[in-house]
Formats: sequence, structure tokens, C-alpha cells
Amino acid sequence: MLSREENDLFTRVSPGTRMGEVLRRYWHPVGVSEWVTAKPQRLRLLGEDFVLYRGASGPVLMQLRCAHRSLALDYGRVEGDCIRCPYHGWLYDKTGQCLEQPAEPEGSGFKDKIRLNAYRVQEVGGLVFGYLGPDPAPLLPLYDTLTFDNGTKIIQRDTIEANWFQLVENIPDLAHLPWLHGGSFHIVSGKKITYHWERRDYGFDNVMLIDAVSDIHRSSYCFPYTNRFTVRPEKPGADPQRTLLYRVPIDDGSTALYMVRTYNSAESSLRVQTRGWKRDDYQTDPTGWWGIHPNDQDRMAVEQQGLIADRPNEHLGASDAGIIQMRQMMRQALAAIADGRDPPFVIRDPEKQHLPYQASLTSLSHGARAFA
Amino acid sequence: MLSCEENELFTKVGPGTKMGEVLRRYWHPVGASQWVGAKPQRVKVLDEELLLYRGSSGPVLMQLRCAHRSLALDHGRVEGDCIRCAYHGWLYDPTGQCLEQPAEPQGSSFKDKVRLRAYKVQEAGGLVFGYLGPEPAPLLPLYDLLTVEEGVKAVQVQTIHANWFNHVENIVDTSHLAWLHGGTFNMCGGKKIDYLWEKKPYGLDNVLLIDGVNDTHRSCYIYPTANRFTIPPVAPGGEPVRSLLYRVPNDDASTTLFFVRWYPSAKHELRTMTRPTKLGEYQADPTDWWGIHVNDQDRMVAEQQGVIADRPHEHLGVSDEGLIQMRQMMRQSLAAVAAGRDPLFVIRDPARQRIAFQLSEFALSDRPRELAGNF
Repeated sequence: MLSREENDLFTRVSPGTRMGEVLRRYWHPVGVSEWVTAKPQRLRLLGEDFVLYRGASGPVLMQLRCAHRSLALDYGRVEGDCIRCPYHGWLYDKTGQCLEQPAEPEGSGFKDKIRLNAYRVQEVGGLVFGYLGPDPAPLLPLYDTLTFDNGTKIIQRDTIEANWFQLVENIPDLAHLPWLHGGSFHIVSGKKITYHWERRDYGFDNVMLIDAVSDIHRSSYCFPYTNRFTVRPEKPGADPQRTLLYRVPIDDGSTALYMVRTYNSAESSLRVQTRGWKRDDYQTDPTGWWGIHPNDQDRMAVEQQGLIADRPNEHLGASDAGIIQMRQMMRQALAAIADGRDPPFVIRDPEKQHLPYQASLTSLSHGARAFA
Repeated sequence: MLSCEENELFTKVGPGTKMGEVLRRYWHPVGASQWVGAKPQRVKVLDEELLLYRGSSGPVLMQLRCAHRSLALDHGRVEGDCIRCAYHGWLYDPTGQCLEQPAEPQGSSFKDKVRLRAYKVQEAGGLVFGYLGPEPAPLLPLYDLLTVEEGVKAVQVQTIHANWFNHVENIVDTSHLAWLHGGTFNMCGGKKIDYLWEKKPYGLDNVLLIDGVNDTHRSCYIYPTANRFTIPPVAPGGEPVRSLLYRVPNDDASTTLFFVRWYPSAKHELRTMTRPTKLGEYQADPTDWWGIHVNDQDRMVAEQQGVIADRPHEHLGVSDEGLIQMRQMMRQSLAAVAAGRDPLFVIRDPARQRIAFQLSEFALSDRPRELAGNF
């Protein structure tokens, strides 16, 4: 049970909120490389609006609105690395500096005083990442799944209409696996299971000791909102899929998912996809325990807790210890920022930047999974 | 740059707001004559829901909801000049007075005590105007294009999903012509231009001195919400289209445009039309500078500044002097109403009711405009 105040503290991410300040100390996926082009697009991240485009020398991320009369720059035009506003033709370079104001008198110094907020970006493994926080920026965690280029890679980008914290709590909430996913996770469904959570540099590992299953099952939670786990092969006979899942807060009521799945295969390929989800609209599966397809079960659970879950009225048991630990890490992160220190798992040492896969290489179900 | 407080002050128009009180001192178009019939319709003006219909002796404008149990009267029936509520049959005359309450005991005087708010209306030049303010009502300004008798006139009614102030600022923001409309207005697109604004009895004239163009270009801002300007002819070699554009706040987030367009012709015609609009959806035009058809460019900027533009974060330059002047006029009107005086350009002298303009009758483009289905 959380107080109303702490529920607000954990869930609000806009500029000026304390959790917003924590989250601004990490790199976030802001787009799928293949979809970031010279046509500028609008993006919301941590309650702020941005324009994202691919300039001549790479992706550019800056505040959405022109400084002049607040027109949204996603209606503008990319010129080299710069973007021009369609209203009065103001031109900005990729650092946000205004270079031209065609209607102002010749020789005017007004443009030199105008600079939009522009943000650091980098591109790795099919994703574009942005950093909104103070300098110096930390290093981008290089998960093996992200940098993988030796087989099949599938990137899915979708939106879930629920607060980010629900999606993160669903990671250490292992006790939902044999129930919500009981119809497809045959190895755990109906079994007696002991749950552990083991602290790691990156967060903690979720550990399950399943009655009559000899292997310990392990997946990884990477602070603040990422996890790594293994899902069934995409097709019969293929390797199980090593999966990396980012949950990026769009604002307090919606979250972007970036899911990266990889497996070894003879030919290298990259596929990007989106499912176009809508709140309250779930793929049915009359053969499943709950009538909802496994692809939509987690989304149903986090959306149907309410836009922001009512934690002052929750009741956590012993099997929810992972959620308690995760929240404790969030409190540590909030305290670190208040003290002027880095929050957990901010990487500044290049030797710690590469992260090998620690999760079990078996999935919790038999057979191949039908990914639409 | 405005403070947050002044941005609110300028943009909010509901009953009881200061700007709402200013705007209630003027007549506003509430419908197109050809579309106001005996079938009652719902309109929203200055954040008030109203009922509009044509009774046997003319248009009637009153509060939307029946005084009894608040049913919307656009579901009712017009009887002569009166309207009858569909729920329990209460009947109201054009002044809003209740005449019948069929379920009440015979001889009851309850109906005599019930009166809906009804507003003054008048019809001119293809539009129905309403007045929502205190008595005595001022005179309706009779602009040249409103009263013109001959020629071809088209009235286009359109909804903009943005606050009215964004769209009014766009009138005096003349430096956008060379950029946003640069693809169409080839006479000024990309040119060096000097911008001037001149005070007039009706508001301001927008003046453009364009490098390499002999004539000064002039259009008119008509305080508080209209403008008068010239657009390219419908067909090559035709008469430029003289335009009068009213903006009527529906509420703080949407605005109705009444766009009166006219050109001289031997035939005499009046047409009324609309173009359905949706926030964020604009007609594409791959040949234009910005990929958006000229008909939707102004709507795009008004909507994409944010439903209410974030003026506390704007940066106005020398070329935005027109906005500064327009806002100054708004401040003068707010002060006048607060002091119990008429705001700017309220007309009470019949000798001043007819208004002509000295504007350029050439458009900033020599290309005929493809006004799809507009005439």
C-alpha cells in the first residue's frame, strides 16, 4: 500500500516532478531508426513534446514548438541538418540555434538570441535514443540484444494507455505468470513456485524455483524500466527469442513499448512492426484461460488497473516482495537525485557499458509462439 | 511575450470572462441565411449553447434548453414564430416567453413566470447576426461586401479547432504571407518586404511594400474579429475575389469562420457551402512548399500553435509589430468595458454604419486559385 503522495511521486514524470528528474538521467528510445526520416515527426516523452527528424548527418531531437509564435515544427521542412518553420520561415540548426528570420530587418541580431532546446541523440541497433537530462550524459547501456546483428531481429513499437509505473511493476510481479499467462506458460501453470529476487548492478534478477522443474528460471529487471527474458521460438525449430523490452513514459497516462527480439539464424534480417493497439480493445482467444490472446494479456492487466493504479487501496502479500524491492530502488533513485548523486544503473564507466544476457534461455511454454 | 494571466484574459470568452464581456458588445454571425430554416438548429457562440431557427417572421435566437427540464430545443418543433419543446409540449414565443404548459392545471399562471433568454437577431447579405450583450445594442456594421446587391457571392462556413485569438492574430501577422502561403502567393514568396500597419476607423490596415512590386499591398483588419482582403480569381483572367472573413468564437477551443467571397458579374447569385474539418487533418498538396493545400494552411497554423497558443514562450520581432498593435487595441477595449464605456469601434451613429475599405484589389498571386467547389 502506498500513500496517495507516494503514488503521485512514483507515477508523475513531467518536467519539474521528482520522478521526471530521475528518469531524465537515462537515455530513452525515442524512435525506430527505419521510421525516423527527413519528414519531421512529433513525439511526446516524459510529458514534453518534441520534433524528431533525420538530418543530413543523423537524427535530430528538439523542442516541438518554434520560439516565434509556437507553431509545431513537425509541419516544417528539413533542410540539410536544419529545420524550417512553415509559418514565417525561421530556420534552426540541429543545436536549436536560430539561423534565419526572413521577415526581420537585414542585419538584425534578434536571431542570434533565439535557441530552441535541442537534445543529445544516438542510434544503436535499430533504435534512436535521446537524452533529456543534465550534462554530462551517461553512457547508453549496450544490451547484447540491442547490439545483436548476427541473425533475426524484430523491433516492435507500440503505445499502451497506462502509466509507466504499472508496466514496470509487472516485471517483478512474477506471481502473475502462472495465472494471467497460465494458458500459454505450460511449465508454470498450476505449479507450486518459490519466488526470489536477486540484486544485480543493473537492477535485479527475477528467480523462480518451479516444483518438478530442475532448472531455476531467471529473467532480468534493468532499472528503471527495462527487462530481458526469453520467449518461445518464432517458428518451430528456431531458437528461442532473446527479448529486451523498454517501457518509455510518454506522459502520465501513456507509455511507449520498444520490444527487441533476436535469435540466431542463417541470414541476418531486421523487421520493424507495430500493432496499433487501442485501449480496451484486446485480441480474443477463446482457447486461452481468460479469453484474451497472450500478446494482449499484459497490456490488458496494466490498462485495466486504471490509468494510474489506485495503490493506496492495494494489498500486497509475500509473493509481491519483488514489487516492494523495485519500489525501494525507486526511493533510492529519488533520494540520490535529491542529494546530487547519480541514481542506480547510470553507467559512466565504458567497461560496464556492455551487458551480456543473464536470463534463462528457456521460455516458460512449449512449442512456437504465434506472434502476429 | 504575454504573461500566463494575460494569455488567459485574451483567450477565454465564456459568460463572465472579461474578454467574453468585450465580445458581447458586438454583433456576430451565427448562421448563414440560406441554412436557417424552420428546422431548429443548435449553435454555440461565446461558450453559450443557443437555438437558432427561422420563424414565420424571421430568424429567432434563444437559449438552447427548455426552462422546464432542460431538454435541448433543437429537438423541438417550430410553430409559426414559436418553438415547442418535444418533452412536455411547452411553447415559447420569439421573445422566449412561455405561452403553453399543457400538463399544468387550467388557469395556472406558472407559464407567465417562465421566460427563456432570447437574443436580438438581424439578417444582412446572406448572414444571420446575433447580439448577446447588454442593451442598447449597437448598429450592425454594414461592410461593402455585406450589402453588395449584384455579382456572385459565396458564403463558406467552416470550423477551426483552435482558440479565436490564434486566428485573429493571423490577420495582422502579415509576414506569414511570404512563407506559409509562399507557394501560392508567388508575388511575395521569398521576397524582401517591409511591413507597416496603419490605424483606421475600423481597425488597422496591413501594408506590404514588396521589393520589385510597384503597388503597395493593403488589406484590412476589422476590429475585433474580421478582415477584408483580396484573393486570386476563380478562373484565369477572371475578377479577383473580394473577401470578408468573420471569426466567431464557439468556445475557448473552437471557432467558426464565416467567409464571404464576392466578385463582380452580370449574373446575381448567392451560395452557401461548408468544408468539414478535423483537428490535425489537412488537405495535402504535393506541389506546395509545405505539402498542405493553401485552403488549409491558415487552419493548420492556428490549430498547430496549440489550441491556445503558448504566448508566455513566444518571441516577437520587429516584423510582428501588427500583433503588438492588435493586442494593444484589445487592452483598450477591456479597459473601456471595465470602465462602463463602449469598447473600440462600436457603432451607434447611423451615418457611420456603412463602411468602405481602401484595399488592394489585386491578390498576391497571379495564379488562379483552385477553390475546389467553392463557387
